[in-house]
Amino acid sequence: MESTPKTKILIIEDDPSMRKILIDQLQYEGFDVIAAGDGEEGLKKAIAESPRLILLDILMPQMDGLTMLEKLRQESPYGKLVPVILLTNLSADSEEIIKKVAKTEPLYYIVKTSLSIKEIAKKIKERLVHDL
Amino acid sequence: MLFLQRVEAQEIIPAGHDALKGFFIDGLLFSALFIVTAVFAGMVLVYCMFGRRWNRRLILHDYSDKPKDEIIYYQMLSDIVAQMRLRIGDDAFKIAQNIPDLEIDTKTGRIVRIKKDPAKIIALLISRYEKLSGNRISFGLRNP
Repeated sequence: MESTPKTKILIIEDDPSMRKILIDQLQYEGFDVIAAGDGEEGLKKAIAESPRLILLDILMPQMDGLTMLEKLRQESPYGKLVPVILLTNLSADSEEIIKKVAKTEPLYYIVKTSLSIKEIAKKIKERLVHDL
Repeated sequence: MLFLQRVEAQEIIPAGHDALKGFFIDGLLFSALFIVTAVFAGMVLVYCMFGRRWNRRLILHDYSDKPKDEIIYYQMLSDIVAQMRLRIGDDAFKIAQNIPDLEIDTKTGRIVRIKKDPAKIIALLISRYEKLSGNRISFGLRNP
């Protein structure tokens, strides 16, 4: 008997401990999780694997999250529409960030300290159910 | 005589026992009723204190009448104000009202008008809220 394929989620996060926590929690919630450590690797994985949702950090080496998201949105019809959740320590209190966020239209701008990992997982589930 | 006294005593003890039992049953019933009433009253009180605020948070405003390139900014502002309101109550409106070039309906939380520079207004609102509350804010861009 074939089992239903798991929903694929891409985590792009440079902090290894945070990345591991997110991977563990989302695998526990039943998702197929792939991960990348910076924006450049994340962009390649997103295009190659077409995950249903991307969890994206902003401050990262090589390529930051907002630049990666801008490129992804321009890349393909998939990249233009894939739901992205920005997960960051950076406050959105600058005009430049707000302009980039408005341009790239992520689902959420989540400051890591304001939500628990479980609450983030809940938001992901809510969104994916909404998309079905 | 002694026999009669024993009989009376035997009649009195069971009667007293039943009264005591009845008293305990009544006591238990009243206690249960009291607990149920107290829990219900507590729920009503919590709803009065926070329920309205939760409901207000869930109101989704329609901004389709706004210029197409500005709708995203209206949605962002709307969600940011709702998140602020969830955390600090109607004080969120006081902060929003003091932002230049931003008009907000304080009854519904709807963003009435962004007069100019929406990105600057949003950044300023977030900055003021975070300074006053000491908390960072997260927000959504599309209606769930």
